[in-house]
Order: sequence, then C-alpha cells, then structure tokens
Amino acid sequence: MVLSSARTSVSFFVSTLTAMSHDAASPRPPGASIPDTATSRLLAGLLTGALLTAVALPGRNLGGGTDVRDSFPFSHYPMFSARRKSHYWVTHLLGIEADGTSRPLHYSYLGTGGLNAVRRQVRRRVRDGDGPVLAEHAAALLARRDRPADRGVVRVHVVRGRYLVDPFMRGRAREEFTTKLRVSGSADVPGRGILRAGRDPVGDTDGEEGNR
Amino acid sequence: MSSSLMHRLASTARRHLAPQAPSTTPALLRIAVGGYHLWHVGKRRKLYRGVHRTDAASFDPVGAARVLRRPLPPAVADALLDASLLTGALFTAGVAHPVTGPLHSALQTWNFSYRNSWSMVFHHENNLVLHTMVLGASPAADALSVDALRRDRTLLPTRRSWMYGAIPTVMNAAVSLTYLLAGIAKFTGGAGASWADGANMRGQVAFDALRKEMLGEESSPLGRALYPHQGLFTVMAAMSLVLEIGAPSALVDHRLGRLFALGAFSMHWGIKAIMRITFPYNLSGVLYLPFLLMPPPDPRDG
Repeated sequence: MVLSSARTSVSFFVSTLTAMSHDAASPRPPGASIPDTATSRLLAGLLTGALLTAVALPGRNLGGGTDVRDSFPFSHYPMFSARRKSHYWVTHLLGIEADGTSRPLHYSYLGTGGLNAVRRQVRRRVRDGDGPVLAEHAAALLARRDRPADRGVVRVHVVRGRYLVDPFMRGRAREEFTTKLRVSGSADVPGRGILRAGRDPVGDTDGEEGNR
Repeated sequence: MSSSLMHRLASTARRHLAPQAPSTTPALLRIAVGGYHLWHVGKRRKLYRGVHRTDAASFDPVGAARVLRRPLPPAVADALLDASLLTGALFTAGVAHPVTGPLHSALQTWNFSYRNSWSMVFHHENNLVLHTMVLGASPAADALSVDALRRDRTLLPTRRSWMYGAIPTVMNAAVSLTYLLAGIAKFTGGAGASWADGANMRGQVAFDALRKEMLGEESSPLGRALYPHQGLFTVMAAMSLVLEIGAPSALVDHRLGRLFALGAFSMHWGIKAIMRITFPYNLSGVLYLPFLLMPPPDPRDG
C-alpha cells in the first residue's frame, strides 16, 4: 500500500513537472545556469522521480522484522519502532576498585565511533569470543589514559548483563535491577594496586555467570 | 481522466510545487546546507579518522560502500573525507557549481556510507545527503555565488523562475517521505497500533537511559523524571505519529509546511531533552529551512 501510493505520488509529480513544458506561466529565465527547455524540464522530472522512488523503496522492508538490513542514505527508518521487553541485555565494561566496589566504565575504552557504534561492535566481538582481548585492550588503555575518575580501578571485566528496566528507571540500586552477569573477559590494569583477596564481586573466570 | 482535467490538475500542482521564486531561494539553501556540511564534518574529523582505523572485523558495508569487500586503507579514507571538506567549501561558495555540485554530493554520500559501514547505520545524516543531492544537481548557484559574480557581475541577479521554486519542493518531498516511513515503521515494528498508547515510547526512553549508563554515559534526568507519568508518553506518541504520518501534507500548502517544520523541530529538541539523542542536522534547523523558504503558490492562470 505504501509503495503503491508512493509510486502514484511520484508519477504524478513527474507528470506535473513534465506538463510544465506546456504551461505558458513559466517564462524562460534569462541567463540561468540551466536553460529552461522541454528537455531540461523532462530531465528535472525524471531525476526527481528517481530520487523520490529511491527514498520510498526501502518501505518494502517495513514489517520484515529485525533481520532486514538497514541501508544508507535510503533507509526504512526502524528507530524507536522495536517492541521492548521488561529487561535488556547490554555488553559493557565493568571496573573493579581495590575495595571491591564496581561500576560501569566509559565505552571509549572499548572502541571508537560513538556509543552506539561501539556497543554493536563490542556485542559482536564478544559473541565471536574476543572478550578476553577486549578486556586486555581496555585495561591497557585505562592505564595509559590515567583519567582521575578511573584511577581507583584495578581490574576490568567485559560483561554481558541482563537488567530490569523498570527498577532501573525508578532509581533502585544496581544489584536490584541486575538479574544476570556473564563475564566474557577480565584483565588487571597494568601498574595499579592489587585487588584484595575475595573482594572482586564479579569473579574472574571467563564465561562465569552470576544469576539472581 | 480527461486531458483538460489532467491539465488543470497539473497546472494547480505546478503553481503550488514549482512557483516562481528568485534565484536567491536555492542559493540560501546551498549556503546553509554546504556550511552545515563543513561544520558537521570538520567537527567530527577526528572521530571519522578513528572509525577508519577500526578493526576490519567490524566492517559491514552499506549503501555505496557495498562495492568494497574490505575496508579502504585508512589514508585513502582520510583523503576522501578531506576532499569532501574541499568540495564542500567550493559548493558553499558556488564555484563551478555544475561540476562541484554533483562531485560534492557524490563524495558526501560515499563518506557517510563508509562511516555507516562500521556496525551501526545512523539516521542523522540521511536528510543532509538527500538535500545535497538535490542542490548539487540543480541551479542552486545562480545567486550569492562566485559563479554569479563571474557571469552576471552581481551576487543578486534579479531573475526568477519556477526552477528556483521547485528546488525547495523536491527537498521537502524527500524529507516528508523519510518522516512518513519512520511513522509507518512504528506500526510495523512489532507493537502494531498499540505504539500509539505511548508504552513503547516510554520503553525506548528507559532502554536508552539504561544502556547509556551501563556504557559509562550519563542519561537524561528529564527522562527519569517523566518515566512514571504514562499519560504524558501517550500524548507524545500520538503527537509524533500525527506529525510523521501527516508529513506529506506539508507539501500541499506552504503554511502547513511551516507548521510541520515547527512541529518536527520541536520533536527533535524534545528527543534531545528526554533521551539525549542528538539528530544534529534536525536540531540545527537547516533541515527545515526549505519549508520556511518555500514561496507561496503562483496566482491562478487567467
């Protein structure tokens, strides 16, 4: 239905621009960079039709689920349309301080390209078994950047967490909205203090899963 | 349909969609869109150069970049990016527009396609690319340009034409279609018609806040403050659907176009405030400039 109306609109638009060659109300502009001739009008109509068809065509992917690959610059604009559940899985970096407290670390320790690009890259790499490599890389970067806010972090974990959305939005503590935490890679931050025995709340075995 | 009726319809459409306009109308759009490109790419140059050096395992080409089987050498990608800054400057200044217009459009499309080929397809540069395509292929440098100065010895030639009035129409038609697709996507994305009750939008706000915080970014305090008020999300969802599904009506009348522009501009600033998601081209207002500069329809013939 969308495509058919788009096609109708496009063909009407093209016929309108083409029909202008018979419309006496459009005098030829003297000295314009493009001459106002029947041919240039037809070409303008065809180019317009081609552009609008290209913009509308990805509409055929609508309703195709999450398997349909998006494209650029002609997209079917799936943002904000997916159905959401009560929980959400996120793959991210967790920093552990010497006293055993933990907190999420900034995504830029994991890659470049902005939050969403890094999020997807990391998810894919963890799925491919690169968790330990990512953790080593992040730990080395953390030591090299030496940001004051992260100076207390002595160990990093690459984790995939399952979090409950509603308690999170209502400001509950992290332990209350975390239902699973899978560790896919861990590394000590070079040159930092040693974690006191038994203080790591996550553990350091690759693939370990904490369930609550 | 009789030929006289078809002629009347075509004539009415021409009066509204391609009204007589001064050559400064597309020229202002060229300067705004070209200037935006320079700001946007210039500001993100370092980020893009970092993306060019991302692990090749993350390369998943989209759009024009699908001709590639593996990433370009970073130095080549960097050079193409910098070349688009040069063509962007020539496009904005209106230098040899019949050549630099299409060239700039092609380079911009390539560079943004390439940038989007690393795991995530972003949606904030689509309309910039569509606008540049239209301006690059049309007589958008007949005023306020080096070309006009050279040819007419003035930056402000007095000529008027339907061509100059049709340019904002085509830009607006492309943008309206993208909004329409985004609106229909909400009904076909799994939630169906229930998307309109706002629960899905509320869930999106919550998901986005959660992943931001887990990835070390701060989420919006406004999003958290509004979260308990389901009714507000129902109102916002209904408004955004009306705006998106009704986007094509913005072409029918230039006043409706301005109303749509105001609504869409406000919606994107609302998204920014509640979710901290930035659509920079929309937020800058340049995206909506063709709606504001759209001339009124020509008077009826005879």
